[in-house]
Amino acid sequence: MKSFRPASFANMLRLRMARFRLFAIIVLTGLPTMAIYFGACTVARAQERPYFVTYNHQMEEPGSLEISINPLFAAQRSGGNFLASWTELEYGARGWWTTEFYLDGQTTYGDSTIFTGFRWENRFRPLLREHWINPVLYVEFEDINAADKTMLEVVGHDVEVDHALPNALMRRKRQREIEAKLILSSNFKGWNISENIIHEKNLSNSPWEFGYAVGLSRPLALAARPYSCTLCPENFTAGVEMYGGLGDRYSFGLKDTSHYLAPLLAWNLPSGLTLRLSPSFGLNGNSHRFLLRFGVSYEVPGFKRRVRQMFRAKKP
Amino acid sequence: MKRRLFLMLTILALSSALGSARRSDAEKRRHGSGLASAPESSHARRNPYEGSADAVLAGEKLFKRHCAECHGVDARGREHAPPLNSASVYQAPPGDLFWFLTTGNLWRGMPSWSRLPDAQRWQIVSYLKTLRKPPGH
Repeated sequence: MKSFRPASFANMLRLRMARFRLFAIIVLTGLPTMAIYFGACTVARAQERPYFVTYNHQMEEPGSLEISINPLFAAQRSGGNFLASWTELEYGARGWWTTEFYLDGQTTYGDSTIFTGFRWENRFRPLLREHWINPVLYVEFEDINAADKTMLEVVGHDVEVDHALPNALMRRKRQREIEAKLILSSNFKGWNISENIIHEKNLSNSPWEFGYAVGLSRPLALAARPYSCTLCPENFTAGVEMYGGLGDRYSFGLKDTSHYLAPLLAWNLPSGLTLRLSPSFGLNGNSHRFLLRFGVSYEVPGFKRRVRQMFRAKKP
Repeated sequence: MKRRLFLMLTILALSSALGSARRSDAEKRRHGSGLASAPESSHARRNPYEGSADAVLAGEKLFKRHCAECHGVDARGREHAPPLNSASVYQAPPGDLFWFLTTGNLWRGMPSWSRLPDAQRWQIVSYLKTLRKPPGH
C-alpha cells in the first residue's frame, strides 16, 4: 500500500494551482489581445448580442469576423469548481448566413486542464425582410467529449452531477452530436425578445434531447448622445435569459432537468470591444447553484476585404 | 440504416434551407431595388428628430460606428456599397430610409439594423439627409 506523502501532495496541489492560473491568464488575456491587434486599424464596430446562451435573429455583417472568448466559472457540489471557456470565431458569409467555429476547453480545480473539442455552427435567415417574429434556422455539428463544461446549451437531462466526475474518465467518452435550433426573435421599441427551441442528437444512437432558451434585453438608453462617450447609457444593454432542458424523446418534460435564470449586462465600448457579464442562478436541485459567465468579443469589420487586399498583387 | 436515414434527412434539410434562400434572378432584382421597394406606409412617416442638430451629430457618430466600414467615412461608397451622398438618398422620404435601415437587403449584403433602437435609426436618417446640400445652396 502506498504511503501518503504530504510534501508531494502539496507540490502536486501547487502545480495544479499554477496550471489553473496559467489557463485563466491565457483565457482572459491572450485571445482578446490578439483580437485587438488584428482589429487595431478598423473603423466600424457593430453591436453584439448581449446573450450567452440565447440567440436572436442578428446575423454577423457580411465579410466581418468576430473573435470572442467566453469563460464560465461554476461552483460545483460534490466535485471541484471549474473554469470552462469557449473561443468563438464568427464570420458573416452572406447577409442571410452566418457561420461560427468554436474551440472548447476547461480546467477543473484539483483535477486537470483539457481541450474538450470543437463545434461548427451555421445560422440561416429564411425570411429576408424584417417581421414581427423573425425565424432563424440553426444547425451545428459538435465533436466534443463528455468532459466539456462550457454549457453553451442545456438539453435533455443535463444536470450538475454530470460535471462532478473526473476529467480522465469523462474525456474518454466522445460525443459527436448534431444540434438544431429554431430561433424566433422580435425587436420592439428597443426591446429584444428571443426564444430558442433546441433539439440535439448524439449520432451514436442516443435519443433526441430537447431544451429551450429565452431572452429579453434592452439598451439602457434608446437615443445616442451627440458626442463620443464610453460610459453613455446607450452603450450598455441589460437583460435576462432563462434556459434549461426539456428531457428527451422517451421522457419529455421537466423531470430530472436543470434550469437557470441569468441577468446579464453588455457594454459596447467605442473602441470595438464588447464586454459581457452574466451571473446565473440554478433554479432547482439538479442545477449548479451559481455560474458566472464573462465574455470579451472584438469585431474585425471588412475582414474578407482586408484578407483579399493582403494577397492582391501590387501594381508596378 | 437509421443513421443513414438521419444523415440523409439532415442533408435534405440543409439543402432545402439553402435552396429556399436562393431566389430567381427576377426576385433578386426586386429585393435589390432597395429604397424603391419600400412599402407605401413608410412614405409618410416623419422623422421625430427633424431639424435637430444634436440628432445629426449623434447620427454622424452612429454612421461612423456602424456604416463607415462599407460606405466609407465620407459616405462616397465602396466596391460593394453604394454612395450615400447621392441625390436618390437626399430625395428619398425619411420614412423610406428608416424602413431600409430596419429591413436591410440581405441578398445584397446590407444588414438589417433593427438591432439598433428606433431612435438611433432616425438619428442616422437625420445625418444621411445632411450629406448632400439641397439644390441652389
